Amino acid sequence: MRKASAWLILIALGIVFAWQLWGGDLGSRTRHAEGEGSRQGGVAAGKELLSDDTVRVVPGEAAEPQGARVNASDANALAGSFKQSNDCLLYHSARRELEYFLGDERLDDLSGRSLETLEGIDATSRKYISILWQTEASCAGSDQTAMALAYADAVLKAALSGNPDAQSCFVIGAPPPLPKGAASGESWQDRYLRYAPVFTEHALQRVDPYVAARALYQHIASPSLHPSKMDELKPADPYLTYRAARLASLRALPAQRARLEGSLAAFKELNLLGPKLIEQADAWASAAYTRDYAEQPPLDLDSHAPCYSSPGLAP
Amino acid sequence: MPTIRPIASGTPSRRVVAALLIASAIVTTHALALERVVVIGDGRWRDCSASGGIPYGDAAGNYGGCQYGSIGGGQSPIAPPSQPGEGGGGPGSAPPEFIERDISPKLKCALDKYLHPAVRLGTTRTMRRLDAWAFVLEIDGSWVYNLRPFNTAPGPRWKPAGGSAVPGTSYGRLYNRAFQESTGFSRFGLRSGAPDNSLSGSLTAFETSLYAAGHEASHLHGNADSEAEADWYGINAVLNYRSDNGAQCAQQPN
Repeated sequence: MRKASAWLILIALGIVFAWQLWGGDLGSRTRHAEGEGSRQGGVAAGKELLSDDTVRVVPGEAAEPQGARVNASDANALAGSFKQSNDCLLYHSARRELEYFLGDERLDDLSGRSLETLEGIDATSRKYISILWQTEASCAGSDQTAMALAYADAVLKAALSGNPDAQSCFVIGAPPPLPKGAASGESWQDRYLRYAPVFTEHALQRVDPYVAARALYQHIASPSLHPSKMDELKPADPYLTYRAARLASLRALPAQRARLEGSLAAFKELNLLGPKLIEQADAWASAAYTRDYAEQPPLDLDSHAPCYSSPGLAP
Repeated sequence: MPTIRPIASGTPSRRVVAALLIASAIVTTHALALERVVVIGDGRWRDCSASGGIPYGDAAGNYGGCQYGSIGGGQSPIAPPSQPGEGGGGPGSAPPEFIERDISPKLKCALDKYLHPAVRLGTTRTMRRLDAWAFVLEIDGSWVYNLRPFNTAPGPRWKPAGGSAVPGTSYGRLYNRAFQESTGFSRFGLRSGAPDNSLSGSLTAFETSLYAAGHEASHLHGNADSEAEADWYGINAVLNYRSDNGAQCAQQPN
């Protein structure tokens, strides 16, 4: 009886070994597909690499060492890939949003609505129709889950390779609609908790206005309605945050600037920085604005322009 | 000195079975005594906390709610799952010492008129108000809820909570904190495919409750992972309400 059991175990181990060999071969074939540049190839690679990363990524690993292994053309391809998949995620969102609009019986009678409300409804529906016009050709028929997997993989890889847009989008973007399971939303959250602080710091050093506005909010936000794992996220360096947010305020649309100024005032009340550092950061931001941005059009910081193939696409 | 008998490799001895039964009974009793609550996804729970309630569930171990007095037919007292993501169902019946009631007609109206269509409650989802102050503490990866008749945390690490909703279920609850005026409020919202939104400054008590209800409505619609997205819907409801000064619900009593 015992001998029979031993044989059974040996046979089972053999099957497992053979399976792993076959799996490894499959894995390498899938990875070759990544370089093909096609959207479908990218999606297939995304699935493979997403699960791969979950195992291999080392907590606390800095962005640069991994980035050094990716050459410039790969980095550009990754950046292109995350933006294209994000375009298609936006395509799916826009379709869904228009369906909401069309199916919302509350909009059947608009007689009692204020002009501001009507204007908002009009602007929103026009924006989503414009998104559909711009993305229909490349995204119609795409699978939202595949796009979410591809995006989740490509944005992290591009960010780790040092791509500034990817680092910014990883920090400020909404979690992609990943399916439950191996690449679940929770996995995205764990990744976010692991990498967002590093990417945020890099972005603040570059005075990225989108990340700066987000980092400022993290400092002054009211307590959440109930606790969550995201509470573990520590606010970014106060000086880098204030300096970049001050510059972001100067670059923002007027309404957003007013809002950011209010947030900056709330930040000052936290007394995280002394008056000298505040003064120094204000002077630096003012000089940087005059020197580099005064001639540029104001930025819409609520709209994540760097996260899409075309800046005009961002909702 | 007692002799140690080897345990047979076949069926476990009666002593081992008895020891296992006693141990599991101790564990179950301990868990019920602690009234550990269930974590669903990222921070949602079932609250039987500090109320003398007994968590009950079905034969598969799914949570059914909190039971007071005897356990009903087909229900068994069960220990809370130890890992996040387990469990299911709504937030449980209200502890008897706290009054649970319908939300006001005005809030009901505002949820109907101003919530984004993606998270409207419709006829199948309910939001209720519990006259209690809720505090939450994380213990071993679980969120433990403590409901109190006064607004004082049970300890320094307990955080206040304004609402609760188990993702994907039909029943959410708002606590007293969700009905307070807020000064110095500052939250931002984030939702895929939409511009960010934010709310800062002062909120009336009604606006706070609308924000909280919109937030919990997002969880009821299945959002288990993103507080920022839930905030987006809460903030969106308040901004919509403000855009016409709440005209659509002005006649409703609060």
